[in-house]
Amino acid sequence: MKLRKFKYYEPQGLEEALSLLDRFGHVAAILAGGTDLVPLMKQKTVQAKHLINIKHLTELDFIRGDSMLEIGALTTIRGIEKSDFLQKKCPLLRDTAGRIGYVQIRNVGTIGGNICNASPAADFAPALMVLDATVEIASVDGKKSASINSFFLNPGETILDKNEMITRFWIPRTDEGTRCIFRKVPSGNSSGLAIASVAVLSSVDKVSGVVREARIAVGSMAPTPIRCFKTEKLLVGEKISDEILNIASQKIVEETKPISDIRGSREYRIHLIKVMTKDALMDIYWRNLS
Amino acid sequence: MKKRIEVTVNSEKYELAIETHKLLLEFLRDDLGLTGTKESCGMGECGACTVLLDGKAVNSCLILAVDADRKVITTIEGLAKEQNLDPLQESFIKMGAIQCGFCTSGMIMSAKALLNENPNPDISEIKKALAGNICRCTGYKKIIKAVRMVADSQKTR
Repeated sequence: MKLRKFKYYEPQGLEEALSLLDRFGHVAAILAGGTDLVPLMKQKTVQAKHLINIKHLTELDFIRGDSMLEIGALTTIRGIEKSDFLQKKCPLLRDTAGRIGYVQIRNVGTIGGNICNASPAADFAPALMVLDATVEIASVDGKKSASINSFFLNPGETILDKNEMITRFWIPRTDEGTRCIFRKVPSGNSSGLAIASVAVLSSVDKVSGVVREARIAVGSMAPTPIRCFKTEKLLVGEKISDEILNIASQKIVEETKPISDIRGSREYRIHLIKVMTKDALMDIYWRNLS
Repeated sequence: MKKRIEVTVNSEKYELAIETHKLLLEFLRDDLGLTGTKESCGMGECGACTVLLDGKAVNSCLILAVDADRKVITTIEGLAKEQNLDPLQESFIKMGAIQCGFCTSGMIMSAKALLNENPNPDISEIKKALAGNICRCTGYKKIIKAVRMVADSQKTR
C-alpha cells in the first residue's frame, strides 16, 4: 500500500518546526512515530498536502526531573517501557508503555503521538490523567501549558490549534504510600487496542483503612479518555469494604458513556470496567494494608 | 520530491536520492530487490514486513525510506553469513516452524531483535516479542520453540 505524494519538510530544530507549522498547519500533518499517521494516510482518512517530519527534533526526546518529572513528546513508548529511571520514579508509566501495541509499534511510536491523536483508547491517557500531568504546548507565539484532564475534546480532537504541538509532559511526584495501577483488556487482534482500560492512583491510611486519595481514569469508555471525579469523591474518606468498592464500581459506570463497536459491546465494556476498577482498587488497598 | 540519503542495508552502503513518500518497505523490495521482506496488511498490524532499524524491530510498511538516512538496516537476507544460515533460520527449519512461509521473515527478524537484546528469553518473553507477528497458517508453538531452541543451544556453547 503506497502513500500519496506530499510536500516534505524535515525541520532540524523546534523553532523551524513551529514556523513550518504556523505556515502550513491547516494543511499539514506532523510525522512523529507515524504508527497512527501512516495507516491513516494510506486509508486517505488523513489527506495531508504537507508532511512535517519532526523525528530529528532530538531535543524533544528525554526523561528527566526530580520532584517534577519531565518527559519529552518524542520519547518513544519503548524508551519509557525500558527506562530504569521511570522504574523508580513512575512505574505506572513504564507498566502502561509495556501494554501498548507490540514491540514494532513501541520502538517508533511516541508518547506525544499517543496523546495528540486523541484516540479514546490511547493507553497513556488514563495514566497521565491520574498522575495529574500537565501538557506543554508550543507554537510560534510561545509556550503554554494545559492539564491533561482538559486536553481531549472528542475522538481525534484536542485543544491544540493547527499551529500548535505538544513538546513535553510535566508529571508531579506522587505522595509517599500512593500506589498506581494500569489495567487493560486488549482486543484480540495484534494491534491490542483497549476494549476498556483503567488507571487508578490511590492511597489508604494503614491504621484506619480509610481512603486518603483516589484518582481514577478510564479509556475506551467514552468519546475521549476521562477522569471519573465522582467515583473518586465517593471513595475518599471512606473505610475500605467490599460494599464501598461495589458502590464505586457502579458509580464508574454512571460516569462513562461506552458504545458498542468492532472491539466489544457496550455491555461487555460495562462489565469489564466494573471488574477491572474493583480489582485494581482491591489490589492497591490489599498491598497497602498488608 | 526527492531527498538524498545514505543508508547501510545488510552491511552494504547506499547513497541515493529517494522519493520522500516512498516507504522503507518499497525501497527494500522495489529498489534493492530484497523481496524477503513481505508486505501483508500494509497497516502495521501483521509484522510480515519487520526489519531491524539500528537493531530495533520495526514495521517497514510504516516508515518512510528517508527516515533510514544514516541508519543501519538488516533484512532477512542479511542474516546468513556466506554459506551459513543464521542459527534462527536453522532452528525454524529444524523445528518445522514454517508453513506457507509468508510470515517467517518477519518472525525471524523480531526473534533476532529479541535475542540480540536478551540472549536467554523465557517463553513469555518470546511471546511478548513476537506479539506483533501474525501467522495465519497454523500456530505459534513451533515458532516459539524454534526461538527457545536457539537460546538453549547458545547457552550450552
